[in-house]
Amino acid sequence: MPRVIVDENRCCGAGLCAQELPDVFDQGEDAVVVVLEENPPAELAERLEAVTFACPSGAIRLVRE
Amino acid sequence: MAPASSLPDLPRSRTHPFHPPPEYEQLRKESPISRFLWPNGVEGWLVTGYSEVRTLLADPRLSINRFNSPPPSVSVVKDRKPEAMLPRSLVAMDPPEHTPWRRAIVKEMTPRWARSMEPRIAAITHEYLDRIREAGQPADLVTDLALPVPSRVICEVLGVPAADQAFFQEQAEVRSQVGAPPEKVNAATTALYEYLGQLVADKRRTGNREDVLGRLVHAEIAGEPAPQDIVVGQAMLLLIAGHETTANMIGLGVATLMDNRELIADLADTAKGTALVEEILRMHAIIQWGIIRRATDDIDVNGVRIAKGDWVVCSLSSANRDESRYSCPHLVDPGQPQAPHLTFGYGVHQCAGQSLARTEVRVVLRELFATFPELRITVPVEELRYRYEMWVYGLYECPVVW
Ligand code: HEM
Ligand code: SF4
Repeated sequence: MPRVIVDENRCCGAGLCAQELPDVFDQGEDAVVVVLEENPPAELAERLEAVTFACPSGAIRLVRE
Repeated sequence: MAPASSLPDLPRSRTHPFHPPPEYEQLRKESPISRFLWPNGVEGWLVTGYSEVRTLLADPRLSINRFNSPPPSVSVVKDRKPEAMLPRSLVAMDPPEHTPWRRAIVKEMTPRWARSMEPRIAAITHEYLDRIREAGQPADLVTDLALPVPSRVICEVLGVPAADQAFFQEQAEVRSQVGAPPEKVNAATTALYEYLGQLVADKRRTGNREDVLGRLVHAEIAGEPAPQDIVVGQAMLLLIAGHETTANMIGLGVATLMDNRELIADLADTAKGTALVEEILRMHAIIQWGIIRRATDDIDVNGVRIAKGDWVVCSLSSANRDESRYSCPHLVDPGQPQAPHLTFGYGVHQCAGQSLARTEVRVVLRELFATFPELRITVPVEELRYRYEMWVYGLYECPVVW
């Protein structure tokens, strides 16, 4: 499973990630993305890809080790 | 006189009110980044492909700043007097200046907050539905529902007294008219600006932090107290951006559902209704000509060179119909695999009010059809009057019976 990495400096806070996958992402102070689950379960893989693509600021990265 | 341009004219005639100009299809296939002459005599790139629009809107070398020169426009008023100075707002700022302002604003309008607004939006919707029922048939859904509901919502959110909303509607409408006399546009801008300046000053003076404008005027931006004139600029942006766009989307949503009545039932279910609204949003990228940027450097992309200083217009309506992304690009089909539509733009300026807008459109359509299940528009949708010449597309009126 990929690991979720975010770049808080890039995030523009639209909150698409937290809306789509509330168990993985949240929005913290100033609406900036917060990762709740860095290693999400495999069944979320497809939706994680979708959210990563939809993020308007390119702030989410999925890293496969 | 500028030398005559050798560029082709921008294609801009629709053949159906729901579909962007048919020429876009060939452009997407053959030259998704190409140069045109705009009706106001300004040359600019038109970007029509889904991935090209995304790539360019994410490129920091494209600025939202207009550097005081007239951008490509469909307005034919060529010798336009300079517009009244608009106060600065998110849509005139690039990062890093944009970033702290953006955060101060989007933290007020998260998806979670938008969900919490659902009951209030439904209650406001019902006030207007009751009035419609009392006034009797036919009703015009644009003036009786689609305009006043988002207006009430954004006024409450910002902390603008509801009593002033008719005034706002009027001024915002003037400002968005393509080809409106510049004096009228300037007068409307000034009136709004003065009103909001007063309101923001009052909130600062009284220490009011109970609404978005109250919190914004007391916020620290990049370590400094928020300058009042920029708070007024942001207030103006929120009012205008949060009102007319959503109103037009509701009108187009009703028109779209007339031809797809079997989908109305989806509105009763939150998940299905959400998917349906996404399709309605995809079909109608109401910032109909696209969003405008300016190159601050030479950009080589897909074999073309966008030169420093060039205007770039990213067509959201074309991107949303890209055949390489959608199996039925011109049909409303909530079941088709969804690439995220670009109706709210892309990149750091992607609509700050999108969660609120999504909720408003879904709740208003849901309550409308729950209240009047037999609702229909009195003429075929092709015969309605559409805002062809406006920057924000939509319906001028939507006469209905039930
Ligand atoms: C269906 C309704 C709406 C549509 C189609 C829409 C569309 C858009 C688009 C395309 C942009 C990007 C502009 C650009 O990049 O140049 C934008 C930005 C913006 N919108 Fe919306 N909008 C809608 C509703 C709203 C609402 C309800 C609000 C406020 C409550 C709002 C507030 C804003 C703000 C503040 C920005 C500027 C964001 C920034 O520059 O960072 N919009 N909108
Ligand atoms: S989708 Fe991207 S920009 Fe939006 S909150 Fe999540 S990380 Fe930030």
